[in-house]
Amino acid sequence: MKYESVIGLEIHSQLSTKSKMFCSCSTSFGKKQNTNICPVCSAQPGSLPSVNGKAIEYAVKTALAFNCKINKNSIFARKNYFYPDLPKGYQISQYEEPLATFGWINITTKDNLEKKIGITRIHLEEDAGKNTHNYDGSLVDLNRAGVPLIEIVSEPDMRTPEEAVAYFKKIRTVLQYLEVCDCNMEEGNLRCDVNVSVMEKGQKVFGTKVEVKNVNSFRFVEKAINYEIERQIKIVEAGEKVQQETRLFDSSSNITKSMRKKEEANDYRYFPEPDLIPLVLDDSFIDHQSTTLPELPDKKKERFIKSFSLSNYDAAVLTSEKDISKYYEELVSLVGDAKSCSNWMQTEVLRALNEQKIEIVKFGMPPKQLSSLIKLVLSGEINQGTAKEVFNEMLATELSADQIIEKKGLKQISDPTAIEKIVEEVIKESPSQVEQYKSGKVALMGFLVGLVMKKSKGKANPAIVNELLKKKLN
Amino acid sequence: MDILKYSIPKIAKMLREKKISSQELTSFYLNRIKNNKKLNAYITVLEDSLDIAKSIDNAGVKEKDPVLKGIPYSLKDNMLVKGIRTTCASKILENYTANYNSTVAQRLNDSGAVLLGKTNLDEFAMGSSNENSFFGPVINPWNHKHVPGGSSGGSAVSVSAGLSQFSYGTDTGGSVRLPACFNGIASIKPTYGRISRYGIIAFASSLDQVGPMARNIEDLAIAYDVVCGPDSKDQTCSIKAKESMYDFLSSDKASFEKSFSKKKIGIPRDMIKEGVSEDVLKSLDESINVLSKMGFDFVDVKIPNSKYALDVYYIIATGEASSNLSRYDGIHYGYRSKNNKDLDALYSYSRGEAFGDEVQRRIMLGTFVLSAGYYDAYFSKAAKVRTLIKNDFNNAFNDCDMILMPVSPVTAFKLGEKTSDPLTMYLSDVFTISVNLAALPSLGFPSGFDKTGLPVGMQLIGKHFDESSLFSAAKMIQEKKPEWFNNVAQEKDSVK
Amino acid sequence: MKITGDLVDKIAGLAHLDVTKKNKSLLAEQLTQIVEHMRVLDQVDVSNVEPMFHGCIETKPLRKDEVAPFEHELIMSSATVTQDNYFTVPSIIDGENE
Ligand SMILES: [Mg+2]
Ligand SMILES: [Zn+2]
Repeated sequence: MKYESVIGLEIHSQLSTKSKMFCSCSTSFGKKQNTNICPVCSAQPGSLPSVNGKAIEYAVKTALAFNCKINKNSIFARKNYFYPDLPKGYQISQYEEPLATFGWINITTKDNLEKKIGITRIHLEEDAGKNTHNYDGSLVDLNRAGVPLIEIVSEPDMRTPEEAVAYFKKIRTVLQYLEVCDCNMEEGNLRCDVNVSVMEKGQKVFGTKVEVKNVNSFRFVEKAINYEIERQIKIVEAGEKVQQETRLFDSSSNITKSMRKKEEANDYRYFPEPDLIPLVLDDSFIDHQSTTLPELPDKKKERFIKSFSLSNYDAAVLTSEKDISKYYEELVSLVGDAKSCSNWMQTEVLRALNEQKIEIVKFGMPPKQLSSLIKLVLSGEINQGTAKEVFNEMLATELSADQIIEKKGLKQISDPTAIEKIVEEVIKESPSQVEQYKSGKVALMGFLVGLVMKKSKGKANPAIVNELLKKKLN
Repeated sequence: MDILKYSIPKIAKMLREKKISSQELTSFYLNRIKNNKKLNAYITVLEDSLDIAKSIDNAGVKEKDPVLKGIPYSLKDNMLVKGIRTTCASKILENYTANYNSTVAQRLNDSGAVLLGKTNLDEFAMGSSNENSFFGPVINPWNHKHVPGGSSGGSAVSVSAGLSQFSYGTDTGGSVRLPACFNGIASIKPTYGRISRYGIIAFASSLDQVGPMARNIEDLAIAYDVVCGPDSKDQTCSIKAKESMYDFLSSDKASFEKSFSKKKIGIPRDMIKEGVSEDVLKSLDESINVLSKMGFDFVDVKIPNSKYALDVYYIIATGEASSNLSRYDGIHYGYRSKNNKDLDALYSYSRGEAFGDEVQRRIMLGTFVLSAGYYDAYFSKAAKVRTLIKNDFNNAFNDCDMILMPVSPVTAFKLGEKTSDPLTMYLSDVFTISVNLAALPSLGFPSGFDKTGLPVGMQLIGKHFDESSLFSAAKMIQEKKPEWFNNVAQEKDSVK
Repeated sequence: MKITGDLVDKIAGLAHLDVTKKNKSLLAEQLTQIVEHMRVLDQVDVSNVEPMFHGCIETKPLRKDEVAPFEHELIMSSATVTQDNYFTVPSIIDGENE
């Protein structure tokens, strides 16, 4: 491919505070329209903003987690524009002196390499309200107006849609670990705008960038970027110039559309918010936030590799979400064997979550229940194949592993005399295979073991089967 | 009984001794308001204030009650009082009822003072003459052909014409001190951050400050005390604990005099140059004279960058205002144009039809100074020159404790005299705006009358949060020159 | 610095003020006069001077994250037009939002 794309992301994340950024209204979602409002967030004359200290705490934690430099003096600024969901006629944001700058995080590329993505800045701002439409006009609900947001702006360091998705996912993971954002994308608590440009491979100067707004799922990020790359390459190949503009992703048709509003009409007239004194953070506050940071995914992954002897890949999967890692660690503490726990998590638990399309917190089988199943395998009470059957039964019935094994008579047969009987039957019934084995075709052992297992309905202990077969045939 | 001659402490005593009732006081003022309608000092008169007075009388005013209990006052109509119409003298808020209390109104309410009504002002407090009101101009009670000064013209007139015991205005560039000066009453623009701005309709947030007005210094101190102090609802309001100015002024005389003896007063001669009338210069000399006799020393101070103050002020104030006034958009409350075929029309017609000319001019100016390509040369530059002006004052205060200068280069000018020329009108604020830019406190006091019988006024400017020096000096001036205080305006035949 | 009629239109557009019924040339002239006066600032040297954007820069404790409900009905009753407890505006195409 002749072209290379350059991608940067702007992610808005709603901080999970109880009250809004600048007033004491509740941030709870799904309330009747215009009931979480007060003079401040509905811009009544004379009302003044008052900064939520928790929001500052969360923002600083986030900035530290993304290795940012915290600006001890940051200032709020007004971004002026008229829109019905913005009752003051300006959004309080940060502009020239944001809360934090110069951060980075690592993502894992598809070749399993680490890649550092720069974070330009993290700043605080307030959300707008919500406009909806009916046949004779538009309706405005201000419940969301003034909810605290942080905006995380990346450097244009990503080169493929997959990298952009990996970055977005990583941001989400870290925010979840920090417990500063519930990251519910359906409720709009984590939103993304994408900047995309294309250039010929090897070029140093980026092409003209296009901003795509409202790309609010991992899938959409990939689709929107792919669409833009194709669209822009077509323009360039036709010898034309890409227009610098803001486009909107349409998730029903998977295309981006130019926005009607002209770019030059946007003169936001930013200036320092005179109603809010500069935000001054002292060292002790920053240190405190830094020392109370939870273990973050990269650190946890390292620890998993080291203390659980997991592969890099396994550790990455098991730390990709905070709740998955929590589940896994609990499982290990109950079972002891980290490697089998990892296998169970990846082959059975994650598969089940995928099938049921749920998060692990809603998973019907707590670690304790699963641990008893794994223990039965490890102690040889049942074999792996049976265990999978039991696992599915447990999910379907919510019975315990023991109950299911009891009910279905699935307990593994480890009594050598019982197994010996079956082994003898198999030897009798397969004379030609036995002959070939004896004449040197040792690979046939597997076949014979299989026959024994089948005859025992999968319950025979494979180790004993092996042992007995060898004894009889040699 | 001549209520207008009494100070608040005197009335408070009478209320406690049941020599007068709150109802008598309230109906006295309501009657005077009715008889002086032509002054146009009030936008809204609260007739039911009598009921409030009645309930206060029924409960009885006790020794331990707040000093203001039962005493009538007025508020500029840009301060929110819950359940009461607040217009800001604009068509855009003509029918707006406040749904919460400003901190100032809340504190006054808690003190038991009786609100007579909401006073007229220049629309959105933008003006120096009080001719920019949707409800018509306010008239100077000393001479009906003259302006009362703005923007808190209604508040000043309510005090000077005896239409309330005391009042509050807001001072962004002189809007309390100028009308107080044109009306011959005392006023103070406190240090920025002394009084909460919560619930005060913003003109220019980094400059606005509420200021009380009264006919004498005791009343002024009491009016100041009740509203100042920290407020968590305003993050620009200082957390410095409040100190009662009235208690300070009433403290034992020896320690009080000691607190200001040996203090130096600076005179910024370089600021008081051309354009200052003979009468004003004469009055300044007289004030210097009075203060010298009291033992103050005088030094010349320089505020060299004050020559840029007017321009700095009009850039910063209009820039902030253009943003502060964006919320008046016809959607969430206030005037909504019928011409609303689409969203843009709804915005621009609602705003274009309901804002007055001066307000629109300032929004335009403010939008310009903040816009791309001009921000650095105007808004950002002005903010830096503002620092220089503040530094000039800080330097001057190395050599003195207070600064004395006139409030205005001239006494009240004629109605209509400056309305056609905005720039000339802006020059009326030339002596007051530096104080707002530097966030300093300034107390305005009456200093006699000019040849035509119009009041003249001076101001004492103090260091940040040093209101007590200003009050103590003003109190001494009042003792030496009682004839400058407690005047009630009456149009004199000679000047009609 | 001359404020032309075109600039007046541009500023009025940003400020959302309808100026079609106004004497635009007078407005342009008045604004020009004021803006010209402001050019006096060009002569001031402000290198190494910090801007003063705030009246008070004392640091204060920040607000605690506590919910305090407000009588929201009062706010809705101040609105000139509402429908089903929504504020209403002429039809807009969404997503033009910031
Ligand atoms: Mg933003
Ligand atoms: Zn609110």
